[in-house]
Parts: sequence; structure tokens; C-alpha cells
Amino acid sequence: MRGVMKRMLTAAGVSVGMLLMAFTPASAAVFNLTADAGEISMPDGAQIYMWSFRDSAGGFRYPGPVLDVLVGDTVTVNLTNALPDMDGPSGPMSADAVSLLFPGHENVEFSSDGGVTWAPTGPAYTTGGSKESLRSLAGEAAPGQTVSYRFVAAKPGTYTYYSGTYPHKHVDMGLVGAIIVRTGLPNQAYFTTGSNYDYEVVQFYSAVDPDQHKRIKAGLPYQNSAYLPQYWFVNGRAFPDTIAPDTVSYLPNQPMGALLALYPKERLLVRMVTFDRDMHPLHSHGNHLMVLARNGRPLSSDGVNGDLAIEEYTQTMHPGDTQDGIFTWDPPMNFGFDVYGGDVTQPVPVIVPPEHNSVNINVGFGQLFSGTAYLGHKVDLGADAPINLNAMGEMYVPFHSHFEIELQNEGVGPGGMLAVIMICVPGKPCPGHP
Amino acid sequence: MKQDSKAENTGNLNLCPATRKIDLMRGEFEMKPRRSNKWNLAKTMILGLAMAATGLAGATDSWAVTAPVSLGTGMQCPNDIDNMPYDWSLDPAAPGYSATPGAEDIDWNGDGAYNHKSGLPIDPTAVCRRVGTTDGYVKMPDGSNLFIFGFMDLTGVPEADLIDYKFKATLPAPDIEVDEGQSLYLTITNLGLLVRPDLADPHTVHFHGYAHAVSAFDGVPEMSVAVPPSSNFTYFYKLNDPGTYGYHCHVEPTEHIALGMVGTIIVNPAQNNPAAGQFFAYNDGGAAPNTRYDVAQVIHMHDLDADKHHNLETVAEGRNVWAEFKANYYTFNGRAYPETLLPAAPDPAANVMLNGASAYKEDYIAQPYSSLITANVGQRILLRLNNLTYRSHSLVIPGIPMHVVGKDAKILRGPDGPGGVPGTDLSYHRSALALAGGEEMDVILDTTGLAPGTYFLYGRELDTQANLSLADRQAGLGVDNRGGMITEIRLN
Repeated sequence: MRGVMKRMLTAAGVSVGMLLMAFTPASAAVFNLTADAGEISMPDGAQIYMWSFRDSAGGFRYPGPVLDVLVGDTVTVNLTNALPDMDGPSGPMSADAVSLLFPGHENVEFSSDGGVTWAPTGPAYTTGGSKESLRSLAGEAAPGQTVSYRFVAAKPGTYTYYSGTYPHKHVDMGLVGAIIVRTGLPNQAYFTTGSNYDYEVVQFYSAVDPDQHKRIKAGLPYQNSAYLPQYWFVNGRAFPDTIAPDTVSYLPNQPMGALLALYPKERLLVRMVTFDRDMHPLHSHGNHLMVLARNGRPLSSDGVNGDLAIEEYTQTMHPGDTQDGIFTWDPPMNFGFDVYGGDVTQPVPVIVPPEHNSVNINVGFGQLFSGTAYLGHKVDLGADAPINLNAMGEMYVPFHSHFEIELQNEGVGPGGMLAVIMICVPGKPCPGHP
Repeated sequence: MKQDSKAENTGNLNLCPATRKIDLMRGEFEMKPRRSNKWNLAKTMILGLAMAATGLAGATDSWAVTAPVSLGTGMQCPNDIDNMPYDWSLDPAAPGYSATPGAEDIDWNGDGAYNHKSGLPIDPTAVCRRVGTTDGYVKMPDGSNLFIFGFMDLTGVPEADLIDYKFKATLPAPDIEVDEGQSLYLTITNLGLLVRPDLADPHTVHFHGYAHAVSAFDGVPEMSVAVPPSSNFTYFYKLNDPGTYGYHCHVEPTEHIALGMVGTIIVNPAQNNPAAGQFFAYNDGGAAPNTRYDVAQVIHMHDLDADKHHNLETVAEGRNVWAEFKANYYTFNGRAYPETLLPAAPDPAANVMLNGASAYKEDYIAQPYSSLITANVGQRILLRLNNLTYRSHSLVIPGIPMHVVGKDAKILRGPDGPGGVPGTDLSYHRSALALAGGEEMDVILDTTGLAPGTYFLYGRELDTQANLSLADRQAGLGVDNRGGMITEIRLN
């Protein structure tokens, strides 16, 4: 998983027996984040001015890094405010303060003196205690300042973090990221049954109103009630950039792809995180998702059995939600045909061009189409479809918002909040598969 | 295996030298296992005839590109006998032609098996449906006619009559009701657009929620096939999972879905016992939640932003800013209240349009589905809710609690325990039930002990109970008339 910041182990002896981590004494994980400004690219060539969190030792990126910790860890995040000053319409403007919220975690503490003294994180007001001047829901880093937050990651799961300063503005500007709290058990997302997986991906859902971002860059006030998004993202990219690899040269600040590559029968854990202010119904083609947990809490009546897990093909991701689900693609024996094409007594029952050449069927082919209904077979699509991005007979299905206006890039589709699931061919390479 | 394939193709090459597609088929793909000699023979005959008909016999270009493709060649159904669309006997030039009806048998899928001439189905589990895609108009209670893209039912329509169904799209698309265990052969036939002949939009069917879908039958044009005007494609689905599903076109989905290319697929569970009058939403096995019902009703939600439809109608779709989608009309099963209460049109496809759009309101050619629910006290009503709109809708029924027993074509139950012990009952009761675009839900209304009378099912956002009249809209006024998402449940 690109962009994951691994916990830095500072406690002695922690390296002993990683498999037993769930039962080892609490350790410490330290992350250094910097709030900064930069730009991201849209498929139509537009550049969007963003604010985001980056690894203090790394370059600008959107969305912010995934903080990867173990349950029981004392997590310390050192936040440096490098947001730029602005040239406003009436002269220079000082940069915003910035802060961090950690929903789902309790007793978050704040330090503004390098970790010497700690106090519960709390609000900040612009004018004394004037309620109307509420600026931040958490302790802040002033421009140029470094502050620290710490908490105990008490429960495994998928969480968000984001700026608590002017959150309506800062979250829309991109000051967001995610936290994964691991069980310490290998490939086990929770301590509940059924939460095992073969590998995992993180999916961030968000959107931007480019007009508001232009206003911020120009030093103009953010118009909260005028928000009208025009670009929708998975992992900070709009389709078709979502299916580009994790790091491509033309998307230097958007390092996370959203191509979900898996082999048949594999259990792919999808950690879903949503940031913007709207609800998105995420619809998985290809199969249901077995939903294990919502907002970092397993769907379980007793914390042991995953007895409340539920299969859905449309996940309603409300603002701030996280959700963990298992995606598997495994056609049953009784599927009407052998999807692998190995059993000659179970052919595809209908003509599928171009594989079954026929004068009777004249259709258009998508660039990702293999030309057949069989996994692992590949037929040239012919002169009508000279560009074919299908490599070896793999299959593609989308995983996208079903508010279909969100499948546009400033009015042009297909685009937007659309990730792609790639079903790989057993025994053959699977680009992007860990 | 490659060597065998080459040898097998030799017969074709003799008749049709240097055809591109055959060269391609001879490539890496191992075709022989799914090819019988009969198939190749039949294909060779078709090929030769097609080439002869187009004067291209012996030419070096590809026949597949130049051969005429008419509407009358596309339905694939293993039980395709007289009552199904494809009929070679209609075409004297076709191989196997016979003046005798029923002599149409041919190996359609290349598996070496021919249909019975007697008309007996070869595969008793096969069920064939055909939907057409075209345009049309829907009428709102204020008299507005809104241009739509849509599907209509073409099942059983003779090939020669297909073209008569152009401009007869329905809203929503026809329900496709099938049974668990069946094999669904779903043919899409693109009839083209009457009002916008300049648009050659392809269309597809996306079976929304079908488990373990393969790309070829998933209907996403970037990842599979799309069907241009005057063409057909047959999707295949083995129906292993009962439930309520959606279906829609996935080409330019923002536009095509909004314009009306949306419908419902119902897969009835094997637990049904029609002879005993026992019907269920799922195979509940007698464990909670109880999905048995006496009366079922699809409630398909669709929102219409009149300006978007108008711009498509008037070659001004470039003005459509989809991010600013804001509906003026909200419908249950394609109609706004009070027309939701009118009876279903008996046979919408059979009606012949004589008076253009103005005839729609009387005949409900384009809006054949009623949303009026009638039941006796004590009966159990199943609502199959289908939201494929661009917003959440919250539904309420004052006086009747809603028991949600299924979502996304799954019974609301946790994973089964060891030995197949039914999982935890996850169903729930609601007075207001929200579902987002892309969600389907199954809701049981138990009317036991309720007073007879009229109950209302309606959209709780309340703006969805409004219809902006044509006159008010043209005058720039925001005066709304009561309408939209309202229907009645009448308990006797």
C-alpha cells in the first residue's frame, strides 16, 4: 500500500514476536506530518490548488498519509504548519492555523511545547471565549509552529484524521488522512471471526469544488454554502486516473491508485474512508461486499463472532464514515458456464463477439475488454478497437458512486468517483497485486 | 491445440480467404473445444451467403465489417422456436430456410446442440427476455411531456415488427421477473432514437447487483461491449441468488440513467410454492426474518429534471450541467401522483401511437405501471423498493410499520453458523426508511390488526411530493402542485 507510514517503534523489545503483538505491552508510534499547499491534476488537465498533510520528510501529496499502528500503541503525531501566507485582495494575509482531529479515539492529548506538557486537546477561539468566534475543535499549530497530539489506539479498525480548524474549509481543501489500527494478528482486521483477509487496499472518497479552491488561492473567503463540487475522487484521483499505477510521473502529488487487483477466491479487504460533506453510495460491480465493520467497530454482538456482518452491493458512505468490507470474486460451480474456459462441456451459452465471430452481432468494444466471457482468454478486438488495454484476459468491473452525477470531471464523463476492480488470471502476473 | 485450430479453420479459409477476423480467431485463443463441425458448417454457410449478398465474395476485406446487420438477426435463446423472435424461416436467403413455420432450428451458441423442431425447450431452465432501447415521452400530471431514453419489452415480438417499437420507450424499464435456478438470456436490441436521429448512442444492460459478474455480461462499455443502433447483444445470467435487483444502461450513465434507462429485476426464490399460494422474498427457511408475502409491489423511484430532458430533446444537451441536477418531478414507477393510482396499462407495447405524445397520458403507453396497492387486512405486502436516482429518498407509511427484511438482493441476516444454522436476524422496523441511489430493499408490511382504509406511502423529503407545473416553470414561478412520490395502500 503506497503512502502508508509505518509505525516507528520506539519501545525496546517490541520486535520480539510480531505475531503476538496483540498481547504485548503497549508500545509507541510516532509520526511527523506537515500541513502544506500544492496542486493535483485532473484527467482533463485542470490543476486544483489543495492543502493536505504530508510526511514531514516527503513531498506534497493528497490525500494525506495512512498512519499504520498496532492496537494498544500510544500514537504521537507531530504536526508542523507549513500552510502558506496568501496575497489577499487587500494585501498579505497570514496563513491559517491548522490542527488534527482523531474521531473514534478517546482522550486525545495536545502539546505545544515539544511534548513536555500535555493537556486534553480542545477548542480554539479567535476572540477570547466568544462562542461565535469558534475556529478550531482541537489544539492548533500556528503558521510555522509544530505541535503534538497523542492518544492510545485502543481498538483495531479504520479511522480518519483531519483538520479541526475551520473544518468546513480545511477538509474541503484536502487536510485529510486515515489511520489503520491493526490487531497484530496476521491478515486479521478485527478480533472477530470472518475478518481475515488475503490483502488490503484503502479507498478514500472525496470531492472538490474548484471555484472554492481558486478563491482560497486568491486569498478570498471560503463560501461554505456555495459549495458545488465538480470533481469527485477515489484516493485523490478522478477516473480514469484512478486506474493508473500508484506512482506515475504525471500525478506526482497523487500517489495512490485505485485499481483493486485480485485473483479469484481471494479475500480483498477494502478499507473505505470518506471525507467530503456529501453521502456517497458506493456500488461494487462484480459482487457484494461483506461488510465487517463500520467506523472502526466490528459488526458483532459479542466482539468475538462476526455475526452481524452484512452483504451489500451499495455502501452508503456518510460524511466521516469508515467501513471495512471483504470483496471476493468466485463464481460458483453452478454458474451456467465455466468462467475459466477449462470445462468444454460448460461453454458460454451465448455468442460473445469478437470471440465467437458472427455476422449477426455488431457491437462496440471497450478498451479494457478481453474479447471473451472467459477469464484468462484474450481475443483481439480488431480494427474497430485498435487500442486495447487488456493484457492477458483479465476482467475489469467498476466500483463507483451510484449518485451518477459524481461520475463526471467538470461535466465530462466517464470520470469521477470510479475505482476499478481487476480480476486477475490465475497463474499469471497481476499488476498492482502485492 | 493451435495446430488443430488452424486445421479446423481451413474450411473457412477456402471460402473466405484473408478474412481478418478468422485470422484473429486462429491466434492464441483455443477455439476448438467450443466449436463443433456443425457450427463451422453453419457459420461457413452464413458467411458465404452474406458475402454473396453484398457482392463481396472473394474480396479480401472483412465480411464482418461490411455484411449488413439487420435487426432481425439478434436474439439468442436456446428455446428459440416459433414464439421467440429469431426465425430463419422469415428470410428466404438464410440457411435452413423453409416455408414451414418452425423449421428454424439452428445451433445458435456453437455448442453443437440444436433446438428441437417440435418447439420443446432444450433447456427447461432457460428463460429468454428481450428489451429494446429507444426514446419516447412521458407525461406528468400537469401536462408536461418529457423526452426520455428508455427500454421497452420486446419479448415475443416478431422480428419483422421490431421497428414498430421505436419511439415507444417506457418509464421505468419493464420489470424482469424470473426464478431462482433459471438461466436468463437477456437480449438488448438498440432500436435507435426517433426524436434524435443524429445521436447514435450505444446502450447496454447492467444487471445491478448480479453476484460474480463477468465483464462481458456486466454492461460497462469501457470494460465490455456496447450495442449501437440496429444491433443486438444477448447477456447470460445464471440466477442463483433470489432478490430484488436493478438494471440500467451503463453507457454515459449520468445521462442515460437520468433520461430513464432504469428498471427492476426480480428473482423469485426456490422456496416459493405457487401451487400452495406461498410466496417469499427470499429462501428464509422458516427462520427470521419472515419474508412471506401475499401481495407484492415494485416501487421504482425516478426523478426527472425537466430542463435536462428538454435539452436532450432540442439538441441542446451541451447545456446540461449534471452537477447541478435538480429534479422537478418525482415518480413511483414512472408516474407522479395522482396518476400513480391509475391502473396499469393492459398491454402498453400493443398500443399503436396515433397522436404522438399527446396520446400518452390517456393510454399510458410510456408509463404502464401502477403503484396502487390493494390488500385485505391480515395480508402481508412486500414492497420491492428500487432507488436508482441521484439522491437518497426517505419513504414513510403513516399507520403501517415497515419491516425491512432484505437489502441489495440479500436477506437481512448475518452469516450462517456452523452446519448451516441460520445467521442472526438483522431485519429491522422503520417508520421512515431511507435508501440511496443504487440501493434496493425488500420491505414487509404486516397488516394484521390494522383498520381497513386508505394508507399513504410517500416521499418524506416532501419536496418529492411536488410537481412544478409546466406553466409555472415557463413563467419562472416556483409554484408547486401536490403530486410526485405519493401512492395509496388500500386495505379492505
